[in-house]
This record gives sequence, structure tokens and C-alpha cells, in this order.
Amino acid sequence: MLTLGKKINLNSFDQFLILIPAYNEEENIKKVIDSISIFFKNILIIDDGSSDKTLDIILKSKFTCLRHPINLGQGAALGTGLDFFIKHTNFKYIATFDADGQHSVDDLLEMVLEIKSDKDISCIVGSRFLLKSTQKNIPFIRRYILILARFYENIFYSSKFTDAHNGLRVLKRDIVEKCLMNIENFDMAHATEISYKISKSKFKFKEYPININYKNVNSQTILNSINIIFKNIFSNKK
Amino acid sequence: MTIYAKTIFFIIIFLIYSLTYIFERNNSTRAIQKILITSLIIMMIAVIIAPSFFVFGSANLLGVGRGPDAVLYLYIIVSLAINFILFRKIAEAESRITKLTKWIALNINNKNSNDFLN
Repeated sequence: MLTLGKKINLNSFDQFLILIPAYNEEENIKKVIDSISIFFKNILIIDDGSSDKTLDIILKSKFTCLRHPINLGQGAALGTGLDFFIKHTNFKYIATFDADGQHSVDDLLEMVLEIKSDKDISCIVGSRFLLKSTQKNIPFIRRYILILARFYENIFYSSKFTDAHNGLRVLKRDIVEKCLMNIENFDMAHATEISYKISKSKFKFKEYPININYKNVNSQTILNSINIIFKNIFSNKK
Repeated sequence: MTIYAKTIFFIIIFLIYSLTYIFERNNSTRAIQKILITSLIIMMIAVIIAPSFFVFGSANLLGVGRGPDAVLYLYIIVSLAINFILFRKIAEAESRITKLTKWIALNINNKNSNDFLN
């Protein structure tokens, strides 16, 4: 298949499991699944106790679905997906992709090709702050909150990432097994925990410039960053 | 309130925080919590029976000066302790619910999950 100006052998993507945690995303989930399924045949969707038609839409697709009977938060959904990945040893890599339609499949493909070509890298995380063009797309207030969050995580968690909360990641099995099992933060604070665990690990990682589509109204609110900061301060989980 | 009394006040709060948060919850910490709560109940009963002796006596001992102030400080310490203990208990309950929910998702509530098995 020819995409991104490169000829890609889609069979080489059999080693990848694409993990989509979804909660009340009936408007976006079908588009997201359809766009990923063009390139990847192994997709795992975790329905995190949705109360709308998200589960029905997922069940109509041919892909694997695990359902949390109650809503726990994205961190818990990722944790369930990572447990599943560890059990199924035929996959070498796992990629996490948001269900709200903010991520682009082109970025995912680029990151997948990058991690396959660089054998030393165990993890690639998307970043909105590596290129000026992608930075400009971030709404003004959100941009500065993300910059503040980055400083906060750099100081208190020794995080080495430029983008504090980016859900687009491609991870090798070794880093998941040794660092990312047992995510303790169930809500959005899991992103800080993942950054912290990757940063303090011995595994090599890199960031990749990606673009985020902010047209979706269901995405995380800016005020939720306050919740995350308070959770990080008053929780002894790391 | 003297500087010594203030120091004791903050040490008590710090100790309560340490007991409920820093140490792992095991049988020993649970036993200490029970001893603290029982002591508190005995103190409360004693205060009702002989207020002048216990309230004003403890106020003088801590250098608070007035009995009602001592009661206020005691109330702050107790309510903080209850907050910390409840917060910890809620966090533990959440953790258990998450483990259960994840187990249900992985073992019962799934579709096509065996397709990936080797």
C-alpha cells in the first residue's frame, strides 16, 4: 500500500496492537476505528463503562472489545489494555490512540515506522511542542497550561517530555513489561505517571512531532488540569 | 497558645498524617488507629463527666489558656484525622473496584478476545 509517499507492507503491522480507550464517544468512535482499520488489523477497544451508544457501535465492528462495567477513567482503561497486551505474546508493540478523534492515523503510521526502523528505541511518544506549526494549532490558553504542566512535571517528576499529556504512544513489549504494568492512577493523572515511569527507566525513548485536531467538543477540558495537579500533589501514587 | 503547644499541635497532625498515609495499612497500624479512637472516646466521656478537671487541666497543660480553645484544637486534630483515614479508605476501595472491574473486562465482558491467542 502507498501512503505518506512511502510503500508500506501492511503485513509488517501484524506485530502491532492498537489500543483505543473509549468513554461516551458515540460521535467519533466509528470514524476512529474505520481510519485505523485501513492499516492495522489488530485493534483493541476498551469501553470504559460508556452510557451512550459507544458500546453498540464497537460491537458492530469486527474488532476486539473489552468492557468495564463501570466508568473508571482512561488510566484504568489503558491498564486493562496493557494487561491484555502482556497476555497475548504474539504482539511486539502496542500503540495507544485516543477515541475522541484528536489523533491522526498519519502520525500513528509515522511513529510505527520510526519505532520499527530504530531498534534501540523502546517507546515513541507524540508531542505537540516539537514543531512551531503544530504548536500554533493548540488553543492559546490550553497551550500555556500545557507548558506550565510540562514545567511542573519536569521539576517534580523528572519528566523529560516536552508534551505533558499526549495519548499517542507506541511502546515495545519490554518497556510495558518492566515499567508500565500496574498503572495506579485511573483518571487523567495516569499520563503524568506514564511520563514519570518512562523517564526514570533505562529504556531509550523519543518524541515525535504530531498534530492534534481540536475540533472535537468532547475532549478534555482545561479545568481538568487543576484536578490532575491536585491529584498528583495529594496522592502518594507514582 | 505557647510555642511549645503549637509545636505539639503540629507534631500531632503530622503523626496522624504519617499513620494514615505513609505507613502501609496493616494490622499494626489498624490497631494503633483503634487505640487512638478508643482513647479519644474515653477522653470525650471524661470531659463530659468532669469538664473542669479535664478541659481546663489539659488547656493549662498545653498552655492554651482557655478550655474552649483546647476543645477547638482537639476538634481540628480529630476532624483532620478522620479526613485522612476516610480519604485513605476511599482510595483503597477505589483500587479494589478497579482490580475487580479490570478482571471482569478481561475475563467476562469481552468480544473476540480469543482471536488473538497464539
